[in-house]
Amino acid sequence: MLALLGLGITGYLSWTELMGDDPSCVIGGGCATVQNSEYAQIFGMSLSYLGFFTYAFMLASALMPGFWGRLLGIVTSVGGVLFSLWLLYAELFLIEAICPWCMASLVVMLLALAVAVARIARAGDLTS
Amino acid sequence: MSRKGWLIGGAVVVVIAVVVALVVISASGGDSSSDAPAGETVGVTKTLDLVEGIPQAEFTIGKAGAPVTVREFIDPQCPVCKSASETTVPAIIEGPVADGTAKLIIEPLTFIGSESSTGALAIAAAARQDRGVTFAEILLANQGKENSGWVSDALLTDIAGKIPGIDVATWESDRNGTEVGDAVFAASDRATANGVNATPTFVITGPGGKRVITGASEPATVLDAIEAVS
Repeated sequence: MLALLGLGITGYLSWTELMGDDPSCVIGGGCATVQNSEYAQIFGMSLSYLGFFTYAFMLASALMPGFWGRLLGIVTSVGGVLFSLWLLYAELFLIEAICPWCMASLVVMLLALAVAVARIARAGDLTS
Repeated sequence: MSRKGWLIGGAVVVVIAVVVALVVISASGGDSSSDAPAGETVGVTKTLDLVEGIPQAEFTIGKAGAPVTVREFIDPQCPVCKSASETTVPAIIEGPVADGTAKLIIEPLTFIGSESSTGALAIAAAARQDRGVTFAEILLANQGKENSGWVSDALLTDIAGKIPGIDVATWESDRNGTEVGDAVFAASDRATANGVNATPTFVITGPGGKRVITGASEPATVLDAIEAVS
């Protein structure tokens, strides 16, 4: 469920990135300062694409039974949370603007991390 | 700890290392603070060179009889407008404006914040001395973060003082007059009439029709549109 929610969020951001008009400041809607900043790109690729693929792997981990599914789940959620926290820092202190969709993705990632940890704990992977 | 536990721990360490590397790469490509060293007004010489020899009147640059009119709706605090002022606007001025095909009119809007109004009124005061375009372009070159206090009296007065043809005392007096407010309201009315809902928006009209281009388009897109309506 969380992976699907994350796919929805990042899928929307990725779609607007692909299909959207040239950057502009919308009257009553802001300048999309975060999405248009250089911090929102890596290797020339929008972070929304990176997030989309991360959630895709997370969905795969949810569908994959057993240890490897749990391993993929913890790896994707730890990576997703850490990178989302970096983006939050950049929004607050570097870009000085907030992206609501990015905040929503962070919340989903945190919940996904909690679920991944719970899966591992329930399966006793650390001790058995 | 079990073998699976070590595998999980190792994978998490690898992921952390990868994320740190990505963060370092992302941070190295990010913006730093404004291009200008603190307290220094930039873009003056570049802008004055750009507009040299081209007639200006109020908010317009270019020959009054030019067949094509390019209205650029901006907000002084719009970062995309700043980008356009670095690429697209110079291409317009150096090309069709300089050769008499078009005239460019700056239309300052004020929707981003209160500092936008301060900036727009300063542009309008400069326009009363036929330096509206010059003032607007230099102001955009010195743009800071939105509503951060960058549109200061010190900056605006420094810009006015550096533009040949502006009497600063008159400009200062005009800033507080009703005419400049009316001019800025008129720009807003024209934005509404043209269906402008974002900045920068270029409304290009000529004998061949009308084109509307919104956002940070490539200069070639705007130049092609000018040619299409001329």
